[in-house]
Amino acid sequence: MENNIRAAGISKSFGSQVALQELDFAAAPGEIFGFIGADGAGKTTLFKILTTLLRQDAGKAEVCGLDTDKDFREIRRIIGYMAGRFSLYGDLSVEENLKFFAQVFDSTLQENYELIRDIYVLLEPFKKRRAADLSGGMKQKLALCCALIHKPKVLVLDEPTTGVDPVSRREFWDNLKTVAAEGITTLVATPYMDEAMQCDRVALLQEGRILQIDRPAQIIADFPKAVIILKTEHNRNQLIRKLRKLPEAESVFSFGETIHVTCEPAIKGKLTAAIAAAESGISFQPEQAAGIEDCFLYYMQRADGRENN
Amino acid sequence: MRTILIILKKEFRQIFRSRPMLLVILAMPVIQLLILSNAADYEIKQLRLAIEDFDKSRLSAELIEDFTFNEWFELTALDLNQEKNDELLAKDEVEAIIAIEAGFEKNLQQDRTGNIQIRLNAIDGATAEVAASYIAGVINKWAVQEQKQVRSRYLYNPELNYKSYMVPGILVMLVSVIGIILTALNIVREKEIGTQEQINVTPIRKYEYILGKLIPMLIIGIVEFSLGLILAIVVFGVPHLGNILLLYVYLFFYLVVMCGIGLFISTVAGNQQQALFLAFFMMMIFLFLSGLFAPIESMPDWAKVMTKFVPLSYFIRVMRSIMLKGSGFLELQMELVVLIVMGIIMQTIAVLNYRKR
Repeated sequence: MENNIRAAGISKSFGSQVALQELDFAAAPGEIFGFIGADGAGKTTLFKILTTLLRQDAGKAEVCGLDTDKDFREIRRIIGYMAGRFSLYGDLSVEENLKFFAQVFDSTLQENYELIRDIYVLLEPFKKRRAADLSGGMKQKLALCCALIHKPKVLVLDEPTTGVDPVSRREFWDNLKTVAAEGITTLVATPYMDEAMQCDRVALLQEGRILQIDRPAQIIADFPKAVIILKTEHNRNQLIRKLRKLPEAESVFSFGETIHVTCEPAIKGKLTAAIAAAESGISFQPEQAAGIEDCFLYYMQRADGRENN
Repeated sequence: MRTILIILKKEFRQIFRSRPMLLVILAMPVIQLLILSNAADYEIKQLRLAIEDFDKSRLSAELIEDFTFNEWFELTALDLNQEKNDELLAKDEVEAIIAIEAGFEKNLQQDRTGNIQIRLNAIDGATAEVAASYIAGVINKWAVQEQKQVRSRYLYNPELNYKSYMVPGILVMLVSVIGIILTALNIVREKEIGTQEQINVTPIRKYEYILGKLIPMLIIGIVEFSLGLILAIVVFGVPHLGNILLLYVYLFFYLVVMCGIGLFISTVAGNQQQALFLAFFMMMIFLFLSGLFAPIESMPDWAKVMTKFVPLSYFIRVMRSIMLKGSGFLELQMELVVLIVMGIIMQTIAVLNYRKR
């Protein structure tokens, strides 16, 4: 399938601060492509380059065959962008915001109503309300509508679900799937690793580099390590510190109530027995395959370790 | 063009929705004119004088008579004792001492310079300034009768009405505040709340966006000016001898300069607070060097040079000339050229510095 977005060797620095280092990726029409990474990993910088807000120092990026550097004007007609924070006119009503952005693209609310209908029906009762007075979830829905109002070929969403309640988050992802079904390529950045599973493909970003890039299921399938999940009655942080000293434990992370320890699959049984013998008050969770978060945390820690050595 | 109209519609919708702002826009000319024109009223009703006549001639007697019969002056001492008079001045019992030198009449008759000394208590500089010009006014009038030459800057404000002198200047200040502060804040606000970025990913072009931002400010400035002008003429009875339409021509070009400065500030400021401080800082300097509160003629040379770069000083001169003097375009050509050049320079710098492609 022809790719809608292609980036090759994208680099960007702000002074001595390196934001992106030779980034490569491509996304196909209708694909939901996720970028997972901590704050400062370079997600926003990458999105700003793809949306023509910033210029890269090196490399080439194309949106629907248009160069982000040369053809920025044409690109602006075919992308929808939703910034990390709410950036619509708070003093204008829901309807006025939508109309304004539709008109700016020489379109009307009616013309592409089909595309936003599912989202807009939820907003419609509040259409006379000032955008600033909407709830967080409603603001996100309005922003998505405004980004879609001109039926873009590519939708770029920078942390659309940050600070949104879990129910609204789920609704939001449902909306995105509807949009993707229309053949719109969606790039979405998120700091939430659990949202990775909702994407068709994900790229794990750290310090301006892509660590992993694949379908989420494939990333899990390819994960070469085993995970031990345990719980303690005693001090969790103390136990984590102790476990991290074990040479066999390759990564140890706290997952809410539980602790995840990754190791070579071959020694999983041995390590489990060793931990059980050394510590009291520990209960092991039943056998479970590694999740996407285990994979990401492991890869990020490994990249970190390389950096430091 | 269509895009500019869309932006204009949005801008006016936002302005009319913001009640506090609307209130300020409407109330500002009224309040500023009422307070400032009265507070900055240096008019002195009864100026107490001491006159030292060392000449005791026909001419000096005539001059003294002019002061005695003038309702603005009150002759409190006619004494040759200089020390005693100086003491009166120091104790604030008189505002000014006029000394006519011996041989004043003789010198004038022989076509030489006849000297009159005016001593003022300059602790209150503004009063002294006004007193000096009042006295100069009387001397000037007398000199005209005697066919001698003396100059007075009150030539075109014969009633010595300070309000007439101040109000046109205050109007200029008013539209300057709109032009600089409102423009800068309006644009920086979009930067601050992030809508600027959202606009930047739309097909809106840089020139469309800037025009969409500046045109509302021009319109508000013109409305504001008109409100103030009506007030000035109707309530304050400020004369309007010249062509009002010509006034608007200058106003337009002046607003272009002001909006250019506002736009420039918005390009260097990161948020509204910075923009406000920058705009305020510029306004202060402009006001001090505008000739509104302190006459440019009495400034030191370096400050006089600086006033040449202050757009306010040109527009204030235009306002006073057209309204009080009835000047026409021919006398004010230079000012128009300067304002247009300033407008082009400011707008160019601002647009070049405005980062959007």
